Amino acid sequence: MDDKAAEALRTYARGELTSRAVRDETGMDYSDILAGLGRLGLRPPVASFDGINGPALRRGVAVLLAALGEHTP
Amino acid sequence: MKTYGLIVCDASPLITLAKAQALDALLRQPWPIRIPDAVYREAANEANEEGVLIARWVAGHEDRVQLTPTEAGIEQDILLRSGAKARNAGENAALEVINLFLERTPDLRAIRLYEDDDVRRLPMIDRAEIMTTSSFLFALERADLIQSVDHILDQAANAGRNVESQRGERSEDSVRDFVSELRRHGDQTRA
Repeated sequence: MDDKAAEALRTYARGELTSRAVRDETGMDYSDILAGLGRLGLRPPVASFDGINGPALRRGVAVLLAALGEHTP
Repeated sequence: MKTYGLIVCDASPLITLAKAQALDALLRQPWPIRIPDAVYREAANEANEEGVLIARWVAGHEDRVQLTPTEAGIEQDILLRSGAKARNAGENAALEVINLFLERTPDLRAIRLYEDDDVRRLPMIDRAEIMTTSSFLFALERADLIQSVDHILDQAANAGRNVESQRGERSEDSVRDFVSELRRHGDQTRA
């Protein structure tokens, strides 16, 4: 992995770059991106609930938890 | 309870879960799963080990997982056969499936599943909530349906490596706090 790819992956892991941008910049597909993160000791970013789609994300989780509550023994 | 359909809107969640050997986590929710054809074609790339896993997993769960044909998928197929690139095919196919699903089932709502880095640029759609791979996993963890989100994300990015540098970041904390708060509230309501 070259320095440019490593830097792109670090930026991606911090949530400051999308996987699509990493792909465009480095030519790696998503599978390569995951493997590259592993080699660098990083993991995929987690979306913040504070962002523009935070309310929709919160609703999604709330709906899923409610459904799981009704369906799990 | 409102009824939902889970629409897998890009290939990345499937690839992440396949790499972590955790595709069955998708079945631990009660709703039917729809995968647009173009998304499936990107995810089930038989050149990759996880692509083969995804193809087998879909074929083995036809009762819960439905592949949905789209115009974008047909166009993608034609372009790929002619050796051209099919840009945004998965995204366009997902939009078609969401719109068709909402149009044909006015009493249902959709949950759109994306990889986490995709959610910032998504358009809002009425009757269609958003879920990311991690928020989905956090909910399953909170409901004791999977052991650990950390484990799955670590596995996806080659398990066993040192991931300490990202632990405790604000985004993850914010999601965990919210899920815990929601669950506590639910527990109190049921008690």
